Amino acid sequence: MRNLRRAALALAAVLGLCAPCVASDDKPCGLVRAASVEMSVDPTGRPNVPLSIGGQTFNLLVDTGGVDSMLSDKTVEALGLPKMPLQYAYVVMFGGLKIDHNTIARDIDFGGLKAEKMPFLVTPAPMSDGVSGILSNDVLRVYDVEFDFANARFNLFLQDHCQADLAYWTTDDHAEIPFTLSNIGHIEFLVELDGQSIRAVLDTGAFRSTLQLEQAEDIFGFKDDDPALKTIAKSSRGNVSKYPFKTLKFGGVAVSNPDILLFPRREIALPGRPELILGMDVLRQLHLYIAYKEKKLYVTAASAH
Amino acid sequence: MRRKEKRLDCLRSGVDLCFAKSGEGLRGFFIVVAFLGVACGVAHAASYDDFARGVSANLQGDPALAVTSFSAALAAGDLNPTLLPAAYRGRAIAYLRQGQCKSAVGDLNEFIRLKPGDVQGLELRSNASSCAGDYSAAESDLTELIGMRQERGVYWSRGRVRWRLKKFAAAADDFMHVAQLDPKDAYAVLWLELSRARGGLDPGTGEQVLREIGNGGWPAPLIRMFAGEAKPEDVASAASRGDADKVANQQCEADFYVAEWWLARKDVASAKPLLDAAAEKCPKNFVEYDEARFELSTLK
Repeated sequence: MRNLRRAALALAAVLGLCAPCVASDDKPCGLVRAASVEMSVDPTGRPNVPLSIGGQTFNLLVDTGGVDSMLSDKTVEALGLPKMPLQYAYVVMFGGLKIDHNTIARDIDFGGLKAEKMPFLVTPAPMSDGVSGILSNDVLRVYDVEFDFANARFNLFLQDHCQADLAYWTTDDHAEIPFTLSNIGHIEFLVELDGQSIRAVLDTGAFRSTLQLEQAEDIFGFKDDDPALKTIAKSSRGNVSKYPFKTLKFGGVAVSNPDILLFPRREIALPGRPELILGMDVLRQLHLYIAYKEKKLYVTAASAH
Repeated sequence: MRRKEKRLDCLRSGVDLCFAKSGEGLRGFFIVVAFLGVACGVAHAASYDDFARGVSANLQGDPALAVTSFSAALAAGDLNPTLLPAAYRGRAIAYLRQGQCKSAVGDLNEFIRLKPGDVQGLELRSNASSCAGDYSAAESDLTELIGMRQERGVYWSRGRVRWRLKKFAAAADDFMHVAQLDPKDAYAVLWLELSRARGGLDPGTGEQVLREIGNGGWPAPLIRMFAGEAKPEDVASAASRGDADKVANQQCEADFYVAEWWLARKDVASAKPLLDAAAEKCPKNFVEYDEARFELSTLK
């Protein structure tokens, strides 16, 4: 897996070198936009962007909570790409699904960024209709990444800049949130939920924010039989529930009555996850600029300008 | 009661979000959240905020709020064009959940105009057209869909639509495709035989699938009935075996399929009480519940 990621990072860097490099302003050292594409939303409200493989355009989910970019089994078959077993490792997705094959796609074009070839994991997981794969941290983390949900734009910027204030789209006040980057490229920061400080991961691939039930019980001191805990779905691995949390705060952003799903540990099936997955229910209401190199998020309301 | 803090903008997504300035906090930026109608009652919301609220409302199972929100986003006229298809699709889904089928078809027409050949749009519009009783339109969308992907579920859907249109030979052809794509699907074979029976076509034996599920397993007695190897009494007897939950479901299915067996013999009098029983007792998420109600509506 390490080798695969190294290869992916190298290719992602190549993508950057081949970019048309359009400067957003004339100042030296300013932001350089490497790619800009339309960003639509799938039926679950998650961001989708077009990526061309061999001249055919496919919609990919942009997933900051993923690991490596993926193509669905169906897409790999449709393109006639080879499926190669991963030799030394596998990837476990939310829900416990194992990914153990990869492929190499050729003739890539992403909003003007071009690459001769690019590795993808091959996922057998069902995707939303019209979604062919996932664009994830192997590519994202070598750029600065902007989600402009209100204007339906997804932008990549080169990290080599000296601009200090990266909330370039607004003259209004904005939030700057320092984060740490996990070893798999996840953006993690502390949030405050009902007065308790917990670790969260920013996950554009999650259509709802989620918390692990057992951890929530430990942190907030409620039990399975708490009358405030409402079961909203049942599965063979335990109930999915909701709890009436009052306030979620992070970096100057506060959300009242956050809509957080509580999943049992066995359902999530991912060891070592941060407590809170901050999903699109919150994120789609924000304008986000992720400065991976500086490890800082720049945030305004989605409609701010 | 209205809150005192200065508001810039408000969003509602199950809860209300208001964007306000604060003298404190990082760089003075703050998102304040308030309950609906308390802090955000009169504040202006941009079309994107309405759109975002609609998306969240659909995900949270609130179709009324989703319709209101998407309608506001579309009416504003300044929603980003890239988001327009998603707004029409989102409102169509909410309309469908409310049973407003014709409105859903209208929105899906717009969605497909903006995204011609979109697979999900065609699938949704076929559902909406069926829901509105326009089975020919549903069949047309499903035929276009099958041209793009020959999947089990799409053949199933078109088979049922064609069955409702009383195009029994064509329906049988679709169920045959389902059975070929999934040889263990006993219900595909059951619907194949049912369609053949209603269309006056020669029955099959269901031999392959009966081998898969075993002659004693459910719904083998139903398949054997359509193959001419069992009688309605045998089906009734088989349906009563098993635990209580199983028996209730089997009896629901027996009522419906035996009614179809009688209809294939033009015996409406024998079929009607069985259809009444299926429409009354079948679980609402069962195909047999929907189809029993449909059959009863055509018998009136």
